[in-house]
Amino acid sequence: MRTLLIVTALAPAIHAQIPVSVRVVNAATKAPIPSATVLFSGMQGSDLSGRSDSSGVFAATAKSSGSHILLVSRSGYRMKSSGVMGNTIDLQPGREFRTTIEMSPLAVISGRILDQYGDPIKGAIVRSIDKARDPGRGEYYQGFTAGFTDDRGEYRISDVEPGDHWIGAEYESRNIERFSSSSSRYRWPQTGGIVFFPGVASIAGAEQVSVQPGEVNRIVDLRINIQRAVSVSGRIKPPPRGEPPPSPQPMVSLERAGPYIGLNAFAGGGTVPGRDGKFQIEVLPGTYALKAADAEKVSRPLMLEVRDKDMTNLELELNTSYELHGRIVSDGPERPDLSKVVLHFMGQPVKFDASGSFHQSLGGGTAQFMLQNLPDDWYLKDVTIAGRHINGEEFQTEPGTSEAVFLLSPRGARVDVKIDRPATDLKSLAMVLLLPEEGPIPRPESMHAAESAGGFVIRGIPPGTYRIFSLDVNSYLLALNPELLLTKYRQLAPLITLTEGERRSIQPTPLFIPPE
Amino acid sequence: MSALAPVLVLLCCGPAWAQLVDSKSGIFGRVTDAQTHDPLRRAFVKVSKTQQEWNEITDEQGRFRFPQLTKAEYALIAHRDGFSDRAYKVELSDFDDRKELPIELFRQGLITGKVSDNLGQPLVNCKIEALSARTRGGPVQVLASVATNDLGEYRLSGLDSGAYQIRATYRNGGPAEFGPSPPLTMATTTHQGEFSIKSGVVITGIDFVLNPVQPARVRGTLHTDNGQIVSAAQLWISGTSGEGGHNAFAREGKFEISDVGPGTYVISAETRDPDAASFGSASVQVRGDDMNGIDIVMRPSPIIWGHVRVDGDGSNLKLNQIYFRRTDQQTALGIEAGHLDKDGNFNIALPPGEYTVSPATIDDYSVERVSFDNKPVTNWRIRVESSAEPKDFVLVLKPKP
Repeated sequence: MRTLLIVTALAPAIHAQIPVSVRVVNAATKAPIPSATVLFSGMQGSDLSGRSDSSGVFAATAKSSGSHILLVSRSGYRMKSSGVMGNTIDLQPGREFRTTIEMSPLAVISGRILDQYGDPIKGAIVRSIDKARDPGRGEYYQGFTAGFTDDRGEYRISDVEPGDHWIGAEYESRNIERFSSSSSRYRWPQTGGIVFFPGVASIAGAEQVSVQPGEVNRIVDLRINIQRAVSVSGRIKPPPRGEPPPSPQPMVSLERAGPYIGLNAFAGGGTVPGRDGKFQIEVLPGTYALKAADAEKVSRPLMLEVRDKDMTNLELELNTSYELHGRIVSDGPERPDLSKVVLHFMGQPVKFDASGSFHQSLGGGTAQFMLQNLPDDWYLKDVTIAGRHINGEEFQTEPGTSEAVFLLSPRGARVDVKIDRPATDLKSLAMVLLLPEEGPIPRPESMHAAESAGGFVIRGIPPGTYRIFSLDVNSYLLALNPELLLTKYRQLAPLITLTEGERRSIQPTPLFIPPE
Repeated sequence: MSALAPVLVLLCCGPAWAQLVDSKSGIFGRVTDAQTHDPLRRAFVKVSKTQQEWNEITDEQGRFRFPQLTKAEYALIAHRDGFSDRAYKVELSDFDDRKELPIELFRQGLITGKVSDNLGQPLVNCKIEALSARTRGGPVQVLASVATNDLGEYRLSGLDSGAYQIRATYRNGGPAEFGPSPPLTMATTTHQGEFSIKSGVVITGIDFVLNPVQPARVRGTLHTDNGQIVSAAQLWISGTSGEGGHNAFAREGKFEISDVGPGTYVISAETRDPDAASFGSASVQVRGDDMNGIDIVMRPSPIIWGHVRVDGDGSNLKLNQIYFRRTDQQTALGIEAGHLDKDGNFNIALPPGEYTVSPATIDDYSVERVSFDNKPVTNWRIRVESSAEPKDFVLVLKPKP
């Protein structure tokens, strides 16, 4: 169930003088695109950059030969038919390089943001929002392109990918104070609010806006009901112990209920209580879960309906602990070397005793683990918490102490990866990921670094069926998003089934992955 | 009727008058646009007295209420986006009548325009800044800023009355989050002349044409005037209007400063060796191509010998540092501190230039006299000349009665 990543070494280019000419055109109309930024990046970084002329042509002299990445950017467009990072090209000494780059037009969403009185709001951030998913976080909403409202409340969100998007506008007076140098010299109460197209306060009731390539879609005016932030205050019991900084250090957090939305105004907040246990958080009206935790204990979450009045004298009692008494066991007579193994539960790594046992306090009833640096050929075969098998890395526990067993097997499969191009070529294989055909999608953080260049070995693979994603330099950033690879490009990746202890040799060819 | 006297000169244009609806307690009022007399909704009103303050936000009619406040003198400040802050003083007599306080705010100025490149294409996300009109040798302050939209258009709002210069800066970096981060092309220019902004003024058509080019690298050497290589130094490059300021380091007598757009710059170099601090500078004109062979000759930094004296009882003086803040933006940090010994003396090496001086804390003392190089200091400003001769800075304090 692990993601496997291998990076090849890249060699330096050779000094040269090579004429280059890049013609930039609109993919839909074939019209030239002036003022596009053109960048040639070689092994040593950015070699050459400049802008296309009125004919859409950038002509210059490159200073090095060999593999380069050619990246063309222009507001309102993105490169068509390129890799994620651009196109890989070869510059050969004594030979002029000429190419035409097609740019796909993007869209613009414009409109106006008003307050509850119909007055324009300056400084609101308006985003096009899409749904995303992370293995550790679940489903959430994230804004990718944004515009700011001017003194008339007008905004333009440019570079919007054609398709359907939610539109969210938020105003937070602190943003004005933080980012605008024309703000007042005095400190004012925090105010803010949020609205989603077509005029609702929650994304649950929001509708999507559709945009076509090259379109400017002006949507209806959106009204934000701007409210004053209120204070949520109280104390934790017992108060922090020891000299500052106290040990363990408690934290109080306020998280907005519902799906996570990557917007500032409604995210919530956190604070470190004072020595007397008192805390205070400024927050905009909404529904929140308030809780406190230190390294040993947590409070029960307090659900708050925050309206227009301060909420005071709240009490959070650190009286609940979630403990794991765990051990690492072997599936067979062999004993794993645990000296380099790292097991953690989204905090400090646990400490194993000589028999592989450990004790860990968790921050709540829902937890995740990460197990890294297993010895060669070993894999994690099974995990049980309180007698229940865990599928994936997330699990639930009850208050008190639960037994945890991590079963390791020394009979992981092994795959020898052969590279079909020299590692000195930017077009050569940069990474290989084996992503499980079924079951939980592994987190991108569990990737492995290369053992050597020119051909390498992936060891300790759990038995199962995998998709092989072979990524070149253009596409390797997609290794950070295995869910996207599996969702969109599963069919491009060949299947491989591995049994326990099996050894297999593969010679993958880099997949072509269009940009995301 | 009782007067509300303006308490902050830069915010207030004239006195206003106000009365109260309740003769016993409470402050009530209404915030309006001084020109149109329309109510200003969602305006902030702050009332303060000694260490306490109260805040309210105006309602649909522009009204605010502080019913809990008892009869006393208060400071009142009103704030609304798009209007200049304005301060009043609420006096005891204001509690005697029954009319609401009329708070009038003046609309701020606005400058609009468009930025395009030499091909007439809009430059997106170009930073437009309103700079304070610069006094000779003084710093440039950015008082408001905004970015152009996808049409290259900008609306620079939030400008209080005053004189401004307008600067446009374009930096086009790698479009991918993990892509190449240095600017690929860049350009900056300051619009000719100053703009005089008065309340509610809208100046349109302030357009810029920029020619973004690949940023250049500036390389050179550092040595003393007898040819000795300067092993390590800090460098700071800054345009004539403070634009493009960033730092670099010299090692083994060589330096390279990257990401320099076209323009005229001063490169300042400093070594911080407490026993042999040195400085040097060079002017460069960057036109888009890399520049090599910039020679900077390092000379000993002038030493300031400081003396703090107290006329009378100095036992409560907690002063331990004197700050020297460079006013011409030709250094990275821009501030140096002289650390006082138990006798109130210090010495500090300062590169030549103009500085404002400020003592860290002199709570219970007033300033009797400040002198630099045997001349009286006015407005806490000193000019350090380049000669290596030591210079005396003397601060004489007196206990407050």
